[in-house]
Amino acid sequence: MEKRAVDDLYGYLPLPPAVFQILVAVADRERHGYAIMQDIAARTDNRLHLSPGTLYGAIKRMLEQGFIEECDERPDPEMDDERRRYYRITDFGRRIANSETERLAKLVSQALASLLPRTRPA
Amino acid sequence: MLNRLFGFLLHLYPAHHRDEYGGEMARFFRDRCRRESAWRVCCEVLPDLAITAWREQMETFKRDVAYTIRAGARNPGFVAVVLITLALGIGANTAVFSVVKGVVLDPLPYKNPDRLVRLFEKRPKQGRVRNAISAPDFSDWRQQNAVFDSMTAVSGAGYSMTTANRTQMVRAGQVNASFFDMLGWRTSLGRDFLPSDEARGKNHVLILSYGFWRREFGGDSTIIGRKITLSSEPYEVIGVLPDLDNVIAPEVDVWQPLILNAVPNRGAHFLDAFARLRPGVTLLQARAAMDVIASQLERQYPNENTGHGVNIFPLEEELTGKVRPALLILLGAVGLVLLVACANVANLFIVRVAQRQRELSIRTALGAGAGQLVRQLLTESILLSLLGGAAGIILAVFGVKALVAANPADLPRLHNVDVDGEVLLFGCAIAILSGIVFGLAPAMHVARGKIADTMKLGGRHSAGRSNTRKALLIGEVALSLILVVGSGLLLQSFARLVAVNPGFDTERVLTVDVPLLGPRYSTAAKRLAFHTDLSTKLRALPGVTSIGATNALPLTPRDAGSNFAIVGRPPLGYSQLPNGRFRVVTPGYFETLRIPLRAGRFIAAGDTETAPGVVVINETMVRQYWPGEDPVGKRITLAGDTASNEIIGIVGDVKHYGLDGEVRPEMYFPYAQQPQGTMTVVLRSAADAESLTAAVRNEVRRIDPDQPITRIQTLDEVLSRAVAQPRFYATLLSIFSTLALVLAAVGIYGVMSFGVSQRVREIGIRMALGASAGGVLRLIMKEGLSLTGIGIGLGVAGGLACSRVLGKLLFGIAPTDLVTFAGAILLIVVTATTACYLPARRATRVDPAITLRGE
Repeated sequence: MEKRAVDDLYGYLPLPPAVFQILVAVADRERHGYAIMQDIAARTDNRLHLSPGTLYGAIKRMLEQGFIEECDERPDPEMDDERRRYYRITDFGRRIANSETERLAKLVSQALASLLPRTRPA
Repeated sequence: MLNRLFGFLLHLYPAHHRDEYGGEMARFFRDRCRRESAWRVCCEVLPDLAITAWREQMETFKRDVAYTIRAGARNPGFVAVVLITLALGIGANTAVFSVVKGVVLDPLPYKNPDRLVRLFEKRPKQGRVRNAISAPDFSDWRQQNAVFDSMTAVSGAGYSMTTANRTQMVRAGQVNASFFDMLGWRTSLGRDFLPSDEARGKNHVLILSYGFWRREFGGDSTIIGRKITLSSEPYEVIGVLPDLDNVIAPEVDVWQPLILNAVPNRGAHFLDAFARLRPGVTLLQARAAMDVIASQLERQYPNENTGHGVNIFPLEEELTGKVRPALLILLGAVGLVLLVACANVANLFIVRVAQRQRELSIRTALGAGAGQLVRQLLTESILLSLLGGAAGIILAVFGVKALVAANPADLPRLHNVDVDGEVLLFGCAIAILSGIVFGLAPAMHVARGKIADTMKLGGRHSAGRSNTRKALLIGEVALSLILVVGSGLLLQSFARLVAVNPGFDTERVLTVDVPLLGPRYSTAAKRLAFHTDLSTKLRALPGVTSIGATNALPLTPRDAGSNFAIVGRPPLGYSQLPNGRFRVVTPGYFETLRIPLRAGRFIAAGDTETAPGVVVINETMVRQYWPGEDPVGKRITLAGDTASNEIIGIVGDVKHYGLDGEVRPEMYFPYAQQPQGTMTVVLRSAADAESLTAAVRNEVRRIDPDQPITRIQTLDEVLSRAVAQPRFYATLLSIFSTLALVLAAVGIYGVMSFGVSQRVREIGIRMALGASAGGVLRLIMKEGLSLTGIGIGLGVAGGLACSRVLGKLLFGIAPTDLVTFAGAILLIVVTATTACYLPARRATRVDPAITLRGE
């Protein structure tokens, strides 16, 4: 049973970059769409700006897959008094994000092992 | 402003996505525009919006398709019925459209085909509109007119060509040098004709047609300059035409220059003429201008040209004008079949929606909007129609191939008919259109919230839906009646056409075309000797009961005419002389075809070249020129002849110009006294005429091994070909109307049995309250037949309107023929009664106890 659950997790990997970034953005706190975009932009040195089409397309699919959930609708005190939808990560989403992080870490360590020694002076 | 634009562009997303995230996305966009450069935001956001909107649409579509496939798999019977109905409807439409397009709609394969015209001589007083033209008249027309860019005459000739193993006839088209340029044709090898080729001694040059070049010379590219022998005379090949669509003269093997002044006689009419209108000159202006020239020629040559004018017709009308109305009517008819098919499928869909109302209601309860359900239903209908369309197009491809191969109706340009890109586009378009048409009715119900209503009603009855179904049923009945009336009229017209007495007996008669080409038959005596020898030998064949020959077999295009003077009446100029059709026959011809003798005697063996000149005439000629008199013993003189011929007999009229054609005055001369023209030998057999074919070929070969036989066919085949087109139209329309009738029957049955299933409770209560089985049967039948009655009323009105356009195709029957209408109505009533009876009988078996317990 446990084995199957793990297999199920691996079936979602690798995650599209936007999905992974969104999971990371909502991992520590609830955020609304614009805040997610801002967080991603800040973490990627402004290299990744999600547009509303991509962002909400991804959010829709992540909601359907159960990676994230909508918590409530409230105004953002830092912006204006308009109500915004906030999203947070689910347990399942967190497991997925962790698996993807492990996968990427493994990938990076493999790359370091095979690429870096050659570039070091003998 | 930008925010409003963004809000507007959000409509690119599927409605449910927009409803769910549109507001958030708009806020997101506004937030970014506040903090960043609006221009930069737009550059980033708008392309992303276009891409993601497309992706969302496709995802929704994929989901709908997957849903449709799952739903279809649960109900394969429904899918099969819908697909078969649509495949037949769309396939028949695509096939008929491809024929109409290839034959009628595609422009002729010539340069600026709309400016090409065909010219004839006309003689209004004699009722002649398409007469051949004499060479001097043509020359005058060409020199004096200012309305044509170019004008060219065409004549024909036949030659024999002997190759290693056989002798065959080569058909030559003789044309002016400007002919190819006028049509926009260029030789692919060698050169075109030059005006200098149109001179005696220089005209022994040939341009080969592509088919002849491939067939006889294996497409040899070194053919240019080679001499080939036609009827024992050498001709130099100077060019080869590319593989082009020769609609004007598809049978021509080789082209050669025409020498116009070879026949300087204004009384010899043998030329066809074509011309290209100058830019800016209309057909009416050209006609007026040519009328002026014809009047001048009338004054200049009163003897030959009095009463002669010029007729000009657009070439397109000449080539396909005859079949155009019939083909367009067929296209209309097959369109009606598709409408019936759509009405039927719409009905099936409504039933299915009703059966799925629990599922649809649940989806509505779970938040699916009406828009989503409508989209889902339209996706299902369009997907099914596309599948049906694909099957239909496959049917059409095979159907059209078979039709082109069989050419059952001698349609012009049929080789141009193919299921090409445009036809495929047409097929797809009508498939999608059908999907929308039959998907719309159930979708509209859902859109109007009928599903929610039915849920409230406990899924029992929806008045709106049953009204739509009733309207569709009425429509089906009306459309089917129109088609049944149309096919009934055409079938009766065809029956009356083939019942026409052609004036001769076609059974067990073989006809053999022997052209007698080349210098071996350059003299009359040689031709006469051949035919005398051939008839002696053929008469001796076992099974041959009689034999004869003619220059113009009835119901074939072979025809000739001549003016004549009646001896003893005041002399007239050439053009005022009466005209009769010129026939040359051998003794035994009338007997073989069983053309009845009305007075006098037939042509006999004693009417030789040395005997006094004689002629046999037909009854129409008697009525026209000797009304109330006995012409036997009187004499006529052919224009141009000095000796007169005595009328020795009167024979019955023969339908030379088609069973529905007119009968003209005909003069039959003995071949021995007028040995001209290509003869067709006719043999009557005691048994099957076709069995003589091999023996006849042998006898011809024994007399002259180099003599080709250009055609052997039975007279029954000739007759059959003469009625091929009306038979084709009647057959197709009958198939279409049968299809419509079957569809309508299925439709009526479907509507009625659905109605019964919806009313089980009501019927149960009625029966519990004392209604008899007969009463219930009457109730259901009455409802079905009253709907049929309304459909019949509308169908009669439609039939009266539509049958008028059929008028041109009908023979011997009025488009409003009462019997046909009554018969069609009866057929519909019988069909509808049968289709209503089965569900009505089922209603009488409703057990009130069970139904009431259900309450």
